[in-house]
Amino acid sequence: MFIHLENICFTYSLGMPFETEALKNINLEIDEGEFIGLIGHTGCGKTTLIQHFNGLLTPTSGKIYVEGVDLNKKGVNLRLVRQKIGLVFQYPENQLFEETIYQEVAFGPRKLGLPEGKIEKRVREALKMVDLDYNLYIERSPFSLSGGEMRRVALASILSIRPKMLILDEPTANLDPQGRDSILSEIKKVHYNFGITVVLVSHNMEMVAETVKRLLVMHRGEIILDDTPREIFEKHANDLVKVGLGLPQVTECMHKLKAKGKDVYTGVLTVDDAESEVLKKVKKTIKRQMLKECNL
Amino acid sequence: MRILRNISFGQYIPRDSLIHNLDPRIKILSCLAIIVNLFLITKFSGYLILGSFVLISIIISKVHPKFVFRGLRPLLFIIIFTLIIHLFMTEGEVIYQLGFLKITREGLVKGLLISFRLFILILTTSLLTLATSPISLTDGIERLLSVFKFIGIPAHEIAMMMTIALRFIPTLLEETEKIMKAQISRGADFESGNIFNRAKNLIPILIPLFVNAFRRADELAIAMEAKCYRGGEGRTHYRELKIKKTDILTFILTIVITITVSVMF
Repeated sequence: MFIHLENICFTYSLGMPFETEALKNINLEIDEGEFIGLIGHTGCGKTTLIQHFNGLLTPTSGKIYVEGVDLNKKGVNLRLVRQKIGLVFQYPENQLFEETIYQEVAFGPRKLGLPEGKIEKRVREALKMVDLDYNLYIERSPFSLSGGEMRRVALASILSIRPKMLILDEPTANLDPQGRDSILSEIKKVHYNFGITVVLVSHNMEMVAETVKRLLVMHRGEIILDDTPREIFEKHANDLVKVGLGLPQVTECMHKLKAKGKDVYTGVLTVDDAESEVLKKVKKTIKRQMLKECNL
Repeated sequence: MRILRNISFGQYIPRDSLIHNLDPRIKILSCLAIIVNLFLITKFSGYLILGSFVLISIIISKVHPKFVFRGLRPLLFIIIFTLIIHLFMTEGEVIYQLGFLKITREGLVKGLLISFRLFILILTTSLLTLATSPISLTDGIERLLSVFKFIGIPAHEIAMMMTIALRFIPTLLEETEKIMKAQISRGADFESGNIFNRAKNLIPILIPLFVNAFRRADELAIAMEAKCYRGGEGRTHYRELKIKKTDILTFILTIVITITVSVMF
C-alpha cells in the first residue's frame, strides 16, 4: 500500500468566524501502479484532499501514511515525501520563473543536491517524457512558449524529480483540444511506460471516463463512490446527477436508450464502446428479422 | 505557510451597529480628531477619558474586542521598545538602579504616556478599518480629498488606486500561498538556511507573483476600458453618501470630547 488515509478531517480557519469544514472523515488507500481519477463539483474538497498526500496541509484530525510512514509524526522528512509524490497544481504554468527551460526543469533535481551530470540526464529524460525536443527548447525562455507548451514544461519540472506518484490537479483546464489531447497522452505514457502511479483530479467526465482505471467521487468533503468508472457510470448514474456531476455524453446516451426500452449495456465509456454495443443490438434485431422472413 | 495565516488585511467585519452605519467621512474625521488629540495630551487622565471613549465605541460597534486587539500584535514590539528606551534613557530622579542602568521617575511617566498614545492610536485605526467596508472607506476618502481638488489633488484617481490595491491584497496573498505550495512540491525549501539563502529562495515565489500581477493589471485595465471607464470627471456614484442626524451628533460628541480633553489635560 502506497498511501493510506485514516479518518482524515480538515477544517479551514479553525476557530475563526469563517471556519469551513472541507474534509469529513476520509478513508482511502492507494496502491502503487494505480491510475485513479478524482472527480467532484467545484469546492467539494478535491484540491484540499490532494494537498494532504504530500504534507502541504496537516489534517485537523486523522492519520496519513505514505509507504507506512506517518506524515504527522515529529521529525518526518517531508521533503523526501514530496520527492516521492509529485504534485502538479492547477495552472502550473503560473509557477514558472527561470530564465531558460533547462533551468526550470533542473530546479527540482538541483534542490535534491544532484551533481550537474545527473541533472542534465534528468532534464533530458523529463523533456522527452512530455514530448519536447531537448535541443530545440532548453535555451528558450519559459515565458515565450504557448499555453500548452508551458504546461508541459511545468509537468516536466515535476517529472524531473522522478516521483513514484504523480498527482495532477485539473491538468487540462483552459487548454485548446489539441493541448488537452497531448497532455492527456503524456500522462497516459507516464503511467503505462514508466509505471508511475497517477491521480487525476478533474470535473470533466469524458476525460476521466476514457483514461482512469479507478474512480473516486467526492461530494461536500466526503468520498461517496469508489469503484471502476464502468461500474460507477452503469450503476450510480443517478447519484452522480444528484451531486451535480452528470455522465459522459456517450454514457448518458446509452442510459437514454435503455430508458426507451432498448436493452443496452450502460457502462460504456467511449464512443467506440458505444458504437460496438449498439451495433451488436442492431445486428441481433436484423438477424431476428431475417430469420422471421425466412420462416415465412 | 504559517507566515501568511497571521496577516489579516481587508479585515472588515460586517455587523449591524451604530458605528458601522455612520458616514465614512464622519468616521475618518473623528479618528483624525482623536489622533491629533492624542498628541496634545500630556496627562494620564486625558488618556483615560480618550481610551474609554474608544473602548465604548468598540463595544457599540459589536465587533469582538479580540479582533480589535489583534491589530496590536505586530506593533507590540515597537511599543515595548519605546517604553524601554524611555525608561532607561531619560534623565531625572532615580527610582531603581541595576548596574549602570537606571530607571527614572520621569522616564517611567514619559514611557507609559507614549505607550498609551500608541496603544489608543492603533485601537482607533483598527476600529475604523474593522467597522468600515473598504469600499465606503475609499468613498469617504475620495469625498474628503475632493475638497482639495482646487490645488490639483486627483481625489478620484487616488481613491480608485486604493480601492484596486485593497481589492487585490487577498488575491495576491492567496496566490502567494498557492505558488509557495507549488514550489515546495517541486523541492523548494523556505523554512531553513541563513538569511541570505532564505532571501534567495524567495525568487521562485516573487517572479511568478510579479508576472501574474502584471498580467492581471493589464487585463483589468482592458476590462475597465471596455466598460468605458474614463476617470473621475462626471462620474456618478451608485451609493450617494448622505449625512444623517446620528452622523452629526456623533461628530459633535467627538469634537466636544476631544476639545475638552485637550483643553483640560
